[in-house]
Amino acid sequence: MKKYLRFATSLSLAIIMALSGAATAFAATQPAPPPPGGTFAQRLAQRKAERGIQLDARDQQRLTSRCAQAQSSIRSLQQVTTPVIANRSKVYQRISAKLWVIIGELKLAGKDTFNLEKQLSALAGKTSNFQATSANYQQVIDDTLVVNCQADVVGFKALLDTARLYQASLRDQSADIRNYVTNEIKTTLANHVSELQPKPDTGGQ
Amino acid sequence: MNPEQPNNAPSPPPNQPQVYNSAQPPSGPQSIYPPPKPPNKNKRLFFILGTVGLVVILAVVILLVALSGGNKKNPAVVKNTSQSNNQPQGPQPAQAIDAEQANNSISQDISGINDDKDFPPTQLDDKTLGL
Repeated sequence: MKKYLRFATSLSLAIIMALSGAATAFAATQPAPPPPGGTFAQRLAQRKAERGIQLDARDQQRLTSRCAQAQSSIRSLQQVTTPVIANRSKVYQRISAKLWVIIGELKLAGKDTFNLEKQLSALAGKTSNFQATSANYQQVIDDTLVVNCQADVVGFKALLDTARLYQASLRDQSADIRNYVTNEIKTTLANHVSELQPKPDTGGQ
Repeated sequence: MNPEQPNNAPSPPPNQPQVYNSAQPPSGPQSIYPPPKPPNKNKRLFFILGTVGLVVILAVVILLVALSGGNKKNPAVVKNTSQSNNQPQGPQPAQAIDAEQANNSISQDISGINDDKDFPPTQLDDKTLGL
């Protein structure tokens, strides 16, 4: 009987720990993309529902007194982020275009380009995800500047937390694209370079 | 009146012997009048055909002169066409150097972007924003 009791207690604790871990993970999960054509009020309501922000009186007072200054900093950040994201998208497009060209030339040379084409397709998917995330990130930054942070400090906090999550996603996606290009695509291209090298004469007699 | 002679031919004077230029008499009856002239219809046809032919030849000559004159006005076009015909057009089969250049170029592109610089991890921290 005692064994069964101990087993039940252990199982319950394990389930509780698993659920709390899941809750923590849920709080940091990727925010859902806003519905297209949605208004600011709809997006604000969505972010507040996603984050489930709860502030005590002390945090509310602190944020209310300092949020205007934070919005000034975010405005400066917005002016820097927009051209950065545009330039990065151009770089990804340039890489894809170069791959298209070399794939065509390799085909004319009679080489098997299946792997390279598969990698180009994967790269296109990654850059597409990056562009979607960057668009959502810029939208949240805009909303953070629009919200009346002193009147709706919870909304301001929810938008700020969402922006942080999107920025972390952008960093992860950028690193993933960099690793993929460096470790996969460039390796395949290097193999093609070796295949295309003129073979030395074995020497005939 | 002799029935063999045409109606328009003058009849020889009567009771006069015929004078022969040669010792031998003529083998048979011979007309002393010139052969009848060809009708005017053939002449007209020949004239028309000749004129048409001449016109056609002139038209061809004028056309050739105009074309050759047009080409001379745009020598650059002709030269460019001949030059472009000599150079290969469109993508060429890849060589090792092409793949290597593409690889190096892609390396340069990916190295030109800095994740830490573009998306600093502390960019939106409370401390950075003064919250």
